[in-house]
Amino acid sequence: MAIDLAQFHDAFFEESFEALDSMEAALLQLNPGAPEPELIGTIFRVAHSIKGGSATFGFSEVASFTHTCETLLDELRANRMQVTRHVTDLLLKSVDVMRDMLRSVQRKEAIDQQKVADLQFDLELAIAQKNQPAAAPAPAPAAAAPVEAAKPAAAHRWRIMFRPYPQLFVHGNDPLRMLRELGELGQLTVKLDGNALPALEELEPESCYLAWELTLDGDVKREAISSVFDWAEGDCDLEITEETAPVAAAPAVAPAAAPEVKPSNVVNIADAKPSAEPALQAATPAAPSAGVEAAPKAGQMTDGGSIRVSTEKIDELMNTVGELVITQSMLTQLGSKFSGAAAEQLRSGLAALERNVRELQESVMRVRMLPISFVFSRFPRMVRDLSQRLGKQVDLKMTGDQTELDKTVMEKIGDPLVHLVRNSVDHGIEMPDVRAAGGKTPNGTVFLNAYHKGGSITIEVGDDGGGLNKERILKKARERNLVGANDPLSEEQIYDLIFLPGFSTAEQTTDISGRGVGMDVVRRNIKELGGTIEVRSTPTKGSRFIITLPLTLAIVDGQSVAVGTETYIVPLITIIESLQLKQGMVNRVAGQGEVFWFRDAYVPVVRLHELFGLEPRTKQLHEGLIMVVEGEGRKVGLFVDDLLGQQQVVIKSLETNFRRVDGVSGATILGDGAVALILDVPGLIRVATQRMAA
Amino acid sequence: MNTWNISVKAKLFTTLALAGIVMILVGVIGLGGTKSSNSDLDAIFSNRFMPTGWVGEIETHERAVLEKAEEVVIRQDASAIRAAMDLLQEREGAVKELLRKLDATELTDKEREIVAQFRAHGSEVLNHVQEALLAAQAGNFSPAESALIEKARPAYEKLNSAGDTLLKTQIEVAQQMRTEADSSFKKASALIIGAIVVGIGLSALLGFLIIRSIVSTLNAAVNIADRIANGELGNDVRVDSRDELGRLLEALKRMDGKLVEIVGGVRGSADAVGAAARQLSHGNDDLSQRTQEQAAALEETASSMEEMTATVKQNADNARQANQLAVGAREQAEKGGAVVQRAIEAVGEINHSSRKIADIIGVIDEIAFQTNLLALNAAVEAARAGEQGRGFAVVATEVRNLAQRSASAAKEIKGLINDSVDKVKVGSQLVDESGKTLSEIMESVKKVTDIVAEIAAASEEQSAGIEQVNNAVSQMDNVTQQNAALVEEASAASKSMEQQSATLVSQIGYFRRADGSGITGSGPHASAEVVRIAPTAVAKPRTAVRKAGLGAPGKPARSSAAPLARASGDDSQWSDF
Amino acid sequence: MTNQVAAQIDAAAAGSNQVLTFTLGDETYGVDILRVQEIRGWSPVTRIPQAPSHVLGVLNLRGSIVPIVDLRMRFNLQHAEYTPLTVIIVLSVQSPIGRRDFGVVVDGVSDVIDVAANDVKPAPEFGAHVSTEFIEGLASVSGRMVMLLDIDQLIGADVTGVALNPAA
Repeated sequence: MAIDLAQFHDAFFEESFEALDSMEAALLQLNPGAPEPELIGTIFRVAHSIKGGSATFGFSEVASFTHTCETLLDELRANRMQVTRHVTDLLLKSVDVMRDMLRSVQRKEAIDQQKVADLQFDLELAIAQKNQPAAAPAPAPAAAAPVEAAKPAAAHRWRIMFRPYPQLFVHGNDPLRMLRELGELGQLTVKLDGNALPALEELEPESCYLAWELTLDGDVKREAISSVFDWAEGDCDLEITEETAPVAAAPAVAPAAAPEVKPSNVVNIADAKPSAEPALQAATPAAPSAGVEAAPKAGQMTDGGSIRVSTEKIDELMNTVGELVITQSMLTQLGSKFSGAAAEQLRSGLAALERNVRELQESVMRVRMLPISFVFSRFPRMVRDLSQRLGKQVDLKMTGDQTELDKTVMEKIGDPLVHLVRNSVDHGIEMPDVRAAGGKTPNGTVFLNAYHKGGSITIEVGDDGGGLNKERILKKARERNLVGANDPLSEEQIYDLIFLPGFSTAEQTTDISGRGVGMDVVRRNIKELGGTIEVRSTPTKGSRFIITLPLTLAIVDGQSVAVGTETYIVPLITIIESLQLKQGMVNRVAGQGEVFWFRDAYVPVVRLHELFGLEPRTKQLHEGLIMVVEGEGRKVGLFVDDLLGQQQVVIKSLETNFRRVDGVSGATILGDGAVALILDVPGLIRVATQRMAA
Repeated sequence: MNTWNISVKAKLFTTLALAGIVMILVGVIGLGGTKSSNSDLDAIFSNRFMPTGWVGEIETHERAVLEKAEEVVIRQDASAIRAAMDLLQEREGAVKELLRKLDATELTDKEREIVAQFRAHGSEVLNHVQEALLAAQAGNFSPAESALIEKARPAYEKLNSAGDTLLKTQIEVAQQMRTEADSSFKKASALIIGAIVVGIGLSALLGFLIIRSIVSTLNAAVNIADRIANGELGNDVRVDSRDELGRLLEALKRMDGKLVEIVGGVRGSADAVGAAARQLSHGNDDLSQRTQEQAAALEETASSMEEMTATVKQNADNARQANQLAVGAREQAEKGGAVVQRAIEAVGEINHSSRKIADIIGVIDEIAFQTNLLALNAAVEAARAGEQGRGFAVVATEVRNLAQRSASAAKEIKGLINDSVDKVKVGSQLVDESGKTLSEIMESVKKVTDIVAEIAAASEEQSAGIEQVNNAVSQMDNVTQQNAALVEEASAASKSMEQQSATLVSQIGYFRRADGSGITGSGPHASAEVVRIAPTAVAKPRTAVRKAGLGAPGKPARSSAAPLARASGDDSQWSDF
Repeated sequence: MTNQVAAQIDAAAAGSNQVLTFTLGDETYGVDILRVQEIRGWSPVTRIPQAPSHVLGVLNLRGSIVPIVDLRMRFNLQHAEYTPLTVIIVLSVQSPIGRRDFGVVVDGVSDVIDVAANDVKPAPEFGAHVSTEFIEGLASVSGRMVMLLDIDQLIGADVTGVALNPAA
């Protein structure tokens, strides 16, 4: 039975991090003064299971700390202590500390003992003072408290049927620990049911074959009992019946309390990557991604129906499906060559295949899609901390957090959003007294809204604060020579200035914002994702940033063009117009090569064949086609032989097996199995400009 | 005469102008004389005659005043004093008037002196009278009387004598003036007569000179015209002057030269015409002889034509037979061609099959290659599998061996098939060639039949043609007769032409050179033509007649006229008959 | 898992290695068979702009984009025509930035052979087309001389753009 527990570590850490996230979310929802017992239960279960897990794996420091938390939570749950803001803060800090500890353990690093000890002391202090906080402004819970208080008066006899599934151990549950815990609650009688035990040679050491019939006497609530089995939920059949309370509650209803809560079939896929602490002071959004924190919605915290799949596997799946698409198109081509009655059947079969393959591809794509709540989940805590630090009263309203988005996009949008939200809290929302003076409620509101629009996702970050100060922006821009002193600028243009590098209007640099590296990086990051950002603002009413992003980075709408024997894909989003030049429309300009007049400006011609050293079908500009493309605000006319067609292509990185190539953002596989390069238009323009300058 | 190189018009004008000038000169001198005598006369009248009268008048007035005063004083009539005073006043004014007039006339110095005395005396008289009258008025008659007698009367006397002196002087001056006028008249008369004489002399000289120059030139012109009229040309005309007459002479000279040229040209042409006419008549004689020869030749032709007709008919029969034979040969050849075609197709199929086999072998080869690769991949996997893969690696190696063996077998078969494909290719080439040869033969046979058929058709056409030729020959005979007659006529015409040209030459002979030599013919083209015609007309006609073959019956008739009509044409035309 | 490890240990103990040999012109080269991912026939490649001339382009290898290197060109040999019988060996190299797959175009694949560790001699300075830094060693197998290539050295820099030699 020398089972190497190390193989379960990864699963433990992942689940623990996830659990901590949900604990954090629940804590934020917790209403000081009028706590919902269910929320407290959730929080308690998290702490409890982490305690159990770490004890099982021998992470004694974690277990010890968690135990303290659990004790505090137990006090809360038992209503022996009031939920106050102080307590919530302490618990939130505890979440952070637990996260740190687990991470340290995972990396086999030393735990910051001092910090842990400090917090642990605070927690114990809070527990010790549990009776004093009664003086705290606790508007006595209307319903929950009296009911809860009433119940413990009566003694109960609980009958518990605990029938674990064979995989119980696999998930790190230990029945002995549970039984011990039950024993602590009251007088426990244990009866073992070993009927399922197989013969020794058939026995799988990692499976559980036993079942128990338990009787618990004492002043115990149902919740207390079921919480013992929380961690085993889904891995066992559990039946809790109250024998000595024939009238109080219908015994038949009891199984309902069994934690057979399968909220939905939502498949949650989260990156196993350890997420860095969302750097509150991160003025460096370019720093490594903070990762995605899997924080399922409160209602789905008991996450039963999802499986954890590594992204590599999904990428593999995508590849395979891509291959399947190619094979299918080859078959379709082949099928069109047959004739006769059987060929008709073949073709209809191929059509069905095509449909199925496309659906399969879409499904696989969807697997990569995650609800944006993975990003949004970090904001409640952030806004809370920030507003406390700044002495402001800020409410966060998030809508559309179930809007789905590709994981890769999600990974990169986190930092810009953090920045925007932080800006809104720091600069947007005024101090409560200012708000009150302006006739507003003292509580400011920060909105986060996400929704699908066409093939893209729109994320709005807004506030009901003072709005952008036009005069100050203009003044600053002029001071920094970003605009001429007398340039006439429209309102939009002025607001747009804040995206310029080195621009910050904050009068004093705080550690939260105002260092001038911010909005330009935000915009650059969004542009790198192929998205746009714009800003709207109304003085005294607030400002709103609107970000539009492609749903995925794995697929791009492209126009395929031919140059010589090669095929290239140009992202549709960069194309302005395709046209054919007539003779005489092209002028030669010294130092700039060929240019032509296009919509009130001269646009240089970039000959793709020259840039890529190919032998084209024609070198005469009027015989080929010009595709006017735009990148980083510059337009060029890309000279190609022919346009082939528009299609959605799956982007594959050249860097997987090769290296970066200037002017090429990746490659894709065409229907015939051949590889086509996807052009990186801004890079291409840069390369072309360098060539011309050389 | 060279000094007179001005036009005749100018000469005449000059002479007349000289005569006019003399007449004007004479007139002017005459007029001057007349005017001078008139002015003298006027001076005598107004300066000498009139003043004489005025002196007398003055004396009269003075005396009247004196006498009145004396009467008053003597009578001592105071009442009359008033009247005397008035008279005095009146006559004093008149005197003064007359004296003024006198002063205005032209007077000599002596006269003026006398006039001054006269004037002084006059006023003295009047003053004394006035004095006396004033005294009388005062009643002092005696002083008045004495004044009158003692003073006024003597003054009057003096006045009178002064008057007389003036008259005398006046007459003397007039006398002197008359003498002066006389002498000036004499001088003017002499001047006028001299001028007239000089003018007449000059005019006469000029007129003589002009007449002499005109007449000499006109005489020369008349002389030349006379000579030309007499047929003498080439005169030596010298032109010295450049006036109108000079130009007349110049024109005559040119006329002479031109006439020499023209006469020379006409003479030359006439000679040429004469020579040509002689040759023409000679040629006509020749022609008539050859026309005879032609007639004989035509008869011979007619007999040969009959022989030819028979030959051509036989030829046509032979051709028909040959045509039938050729058609038979062609059918045979076509049958052979079809057989060869089938052989070609069969070989082609063999070739096609061989190629298919080669393709299949290629596929086998490809499969062997792929199998080899697969086996290699299997070996790689096996190696990766380590010890467990050992057995699998052995199998893979065996598969590879098999693949290699099948590849080499495929290669061998490929070689064999390629060999057989090559051989079939050679065979099919041979069959192709024999097919080609056969079809070439067919082609040739076809051509032969065609040609033979053409020959038969041509023979038919030939016999028809010969008939036409016969007709043509008899027509030619007729035409030859007509030709002979025409030749006679032409001969006569050329004779008469010869005569005409001789006449022309003799008439032109009227003109001769002034030095007595005759004018020879000019115009090189005329003589050159003669040289060219001569050999042609003589040498060619014989061949021409001989060559006038069967197919051209109409031409010999024209041939007699042709040499004339085409005298200047090229002689190559002749050889075409 | 344990078996594979065991096999490797066995092989190391026996001092022998399996090597895939291939021909290039008249010479025979060998690569460690564990580096070989796949052997496949020739198919046309997609050219990559601004790549070295011996990097022919990229190929779709079951959904991943793999660069193709012509070894003849890499070794400055005379260029050979690409036919359906031309062979591409897909290899994996270890570079400082991770594993990279790439294909090499060779004239033909010969065999999989076992090379005993003590059969491998260090490469002397001699007139091969390959400079000795790319040769791990020489092995003589049944009378043939096989040059064992160090593909990490040979190809790594080409496909990754990162020089292995920090000095470069």
